[in-house]
Amino acid sequence: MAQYIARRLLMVIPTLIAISLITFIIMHATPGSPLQPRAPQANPLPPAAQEALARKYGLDKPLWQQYLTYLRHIFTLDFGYSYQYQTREVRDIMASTLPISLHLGIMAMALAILVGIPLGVIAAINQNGPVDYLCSFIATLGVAVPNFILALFLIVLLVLLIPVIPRTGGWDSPIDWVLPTIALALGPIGIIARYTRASMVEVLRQDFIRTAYAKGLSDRQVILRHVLKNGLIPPITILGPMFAAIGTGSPFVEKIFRVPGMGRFFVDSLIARDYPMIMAVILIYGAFLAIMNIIVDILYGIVDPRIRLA
Amino acid sequence: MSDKLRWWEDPEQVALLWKRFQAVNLDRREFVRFVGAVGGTTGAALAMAACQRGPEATPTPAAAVTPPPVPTPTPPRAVGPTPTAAPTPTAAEGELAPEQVFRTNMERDPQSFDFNRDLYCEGDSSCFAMLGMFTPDLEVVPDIAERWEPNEDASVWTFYLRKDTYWSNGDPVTAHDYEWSWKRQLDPATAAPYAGFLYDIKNAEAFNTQKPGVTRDDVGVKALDDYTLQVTLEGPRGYFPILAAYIAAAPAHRPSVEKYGDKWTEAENIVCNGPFKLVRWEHDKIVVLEKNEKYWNAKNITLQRVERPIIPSEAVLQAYENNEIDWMWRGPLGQLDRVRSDPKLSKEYQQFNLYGTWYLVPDPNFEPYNLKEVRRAMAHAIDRETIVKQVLKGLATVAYTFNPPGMPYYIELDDKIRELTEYNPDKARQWLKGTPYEGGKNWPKGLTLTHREEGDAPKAAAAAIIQMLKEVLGMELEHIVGEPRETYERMWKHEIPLMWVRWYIDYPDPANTLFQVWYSKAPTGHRHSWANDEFDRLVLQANGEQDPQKRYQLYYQAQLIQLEDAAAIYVYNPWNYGLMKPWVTNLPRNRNGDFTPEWNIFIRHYDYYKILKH
Repeated sequence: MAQYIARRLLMVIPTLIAISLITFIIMHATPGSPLQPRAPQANPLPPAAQEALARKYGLDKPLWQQYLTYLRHIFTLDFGYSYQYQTREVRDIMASTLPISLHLGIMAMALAILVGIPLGVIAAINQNGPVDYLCSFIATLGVAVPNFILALFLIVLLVLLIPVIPRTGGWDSPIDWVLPTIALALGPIGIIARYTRASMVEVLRQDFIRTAYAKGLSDRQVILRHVLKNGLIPPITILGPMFAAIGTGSPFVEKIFRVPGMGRFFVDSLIARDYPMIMAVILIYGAFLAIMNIIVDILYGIVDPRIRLA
Repeated sequence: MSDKLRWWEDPEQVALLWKRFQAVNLDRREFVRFVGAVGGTTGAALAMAACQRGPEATPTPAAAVTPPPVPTPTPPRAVGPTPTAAPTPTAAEGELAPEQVFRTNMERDPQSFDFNRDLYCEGDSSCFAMLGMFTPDLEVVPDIAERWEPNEDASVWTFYLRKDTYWSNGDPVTAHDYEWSWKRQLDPATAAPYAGFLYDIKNAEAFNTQKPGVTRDDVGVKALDDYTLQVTLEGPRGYFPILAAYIAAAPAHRPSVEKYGDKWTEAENIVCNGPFKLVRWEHDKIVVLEKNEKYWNAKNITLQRVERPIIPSEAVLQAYENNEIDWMWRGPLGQLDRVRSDPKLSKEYQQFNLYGTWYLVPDPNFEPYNLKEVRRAMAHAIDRETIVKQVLKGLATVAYTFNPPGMPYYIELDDKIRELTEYNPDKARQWLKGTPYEGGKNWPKGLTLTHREEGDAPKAAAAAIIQMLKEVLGMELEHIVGEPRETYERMWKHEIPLMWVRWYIDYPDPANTLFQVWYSKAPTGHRHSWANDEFDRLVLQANGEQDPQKRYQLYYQAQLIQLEDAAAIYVYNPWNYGLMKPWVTNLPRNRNGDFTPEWNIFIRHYDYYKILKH
């Protein structure tokens, strides 16, 4: 087991190098230059000023050289200075924003699991009944409504109309956590509920379930011990990547609720061609995803003894 | 020119000033408006000519522009020892709040507060004070320097700094600070993107571009003693105080920069010399400023604290309604209806005439717009009232002619103009009779309507126009929203068959509208391709005409000629809006009494606001 984990973890390193190389190539092939100002009213910089900036950022060197320098630096966790946030190193930005995104992501994920799985179970048991339709409706809503629309809706509803939340945004006290968590969780709730329902329905049709009922087990026992345990494998598969996506923050939810997490950088750094930042967010996301996949694989074995790890 | 100080009358100096402002990407419109504020109509006309000509052209005055007699401008030389402190202590109605806090959002986290390195760093500019500052009327008054004087030919300027103003850490603000800061901006190692702004200073360009043999010490800025700054320029520059008052000439605190490098503007490191200082900067959350008590004029500034939460434009109205900010400086068009009908918000509404006109240009070099009948038909097919009322929700006024309302020589709608511009589908279709497009058929394939990306309002209006042209004339137009710079370039090359475009007024005179936009013989290029000799003759004559009555007639005739040919279809004059809480008083106003929100020349609005008890 320990050997398996160690092997998988080692595999992450070449994966990340490959990710960084692909990102680097795409990033530099994209039209638009980081040597242009971000402010909307500003005109293009004169060539001399661009050259000076290029020298400052080391962008005047050949690409392969830039890449190798970059690679050497990230092994010491030196991501360089951000082009658009000129007062901070990318490492510092990530160190302060990633924990906040993780914090929000864990809360949203917990909410999604606590609501999504029961919702899916209830829907599966009451297949095609009114409760099932209600659950489907909630699930569809969660998937279909973009989370920034939902965010604004929540603000209007819970801050302005029924003032239970005092502020429209911030990250100063637990009351500020409520709205972004809900906004971030609703989509995953829908997805988890649908997956759970589908696999539960599948399992409910199996012979061993009929056998269980024939043995005289109660509904409760059948559902919890037999159906749920087998029905959870597909949802677990998606939980890993889902958590990697949520745990690194959502650009829209974080912006609208003024959550100082790293989600915004996925969009902002691309628009600004902030190379060091783009590399950092993609590598962090990549590493996160790889680790989550390992965890999911381990969890499989716990849920289903047939998939014991070799 | 004998008097180099009256720089606004000297085309060479105006052209140079324009070049400097171009280096910092000041808008041409703002530049003209602002030279006009100092130099009256002569200044504005020369500024306009300077912008038109581009930086390299020979600086001769534009012959065509014969401005009316110069109103006496305020010469910058006469800066007395008693400066007019910007915030005139007016008696505010009502009792002031014990806590003077002003809250307004930033749309995103600033890149830094290092204005000395990059004026577009998106920080809050109230943290730094320049040698002079601008009033809401865009005049320069003393700030850190209490007075300044030029030599004989205005090529050397001496600034005398106040002795009673300090950095927020208690260090005195000295001439050495400005000398060092300007050299820092010019130092190639700093890689300051807008260093070109300071190129009037002797050897500045050479130093910045690493010309061999030129060192930091050769740059023509020198502190003669702690409070006297001598600036030697490349030549006579009567306008230099304007540069010295602009945000691009902001200083940086040397010990902080040397100690912390790029991190010196983080809240825990920064030292400010402006009326406010940065005390808290929680990235992506909030920026908090407090009054800098060591700033010389602090006693006349009422606000004690400014809070700037980072709220994106999508969520700013909700934050305003929930009383989290006092001033929402840019309102979403989509919320306008509600804002106006809301009993509370409607009282806090502030709207600004943007002094411009959106218009449609069918280029006669392209089919089917080569036919005058088609152009006239289009003019009668567009329902301007509906666009203004329904699409723009009234945040605009209907335009039939080029000059926006509120501007001198505005042409009121009369029978003749109505005849040429009224919305009348039958009349529109009538015009197509006898053309190949009679009955709305046979239009060429692939017709387009092009405008540049410029926000929601123009886009929505363009969509409405396309719809109207389709319904009335059967035209099928594809809506193209182009990348801003690229689209304007193509417009100047006359490559766009049907352009939806706007003109913002640089200074209030039709020389700026009918003449500058449409006069077809300008050597500097022609914005649109339509040309008409009689029109050209009339606007040229009007520029030189002294009698307002006759002048109006000339412009009126010219406008009629243009409308008869349907060279342009004027649609609306855009406005903008913001929301200000009722307890904020003493708003900065220009001499016409209009509220002047902060923009990139006038930046000192915090000096004015007072917060009433609420």
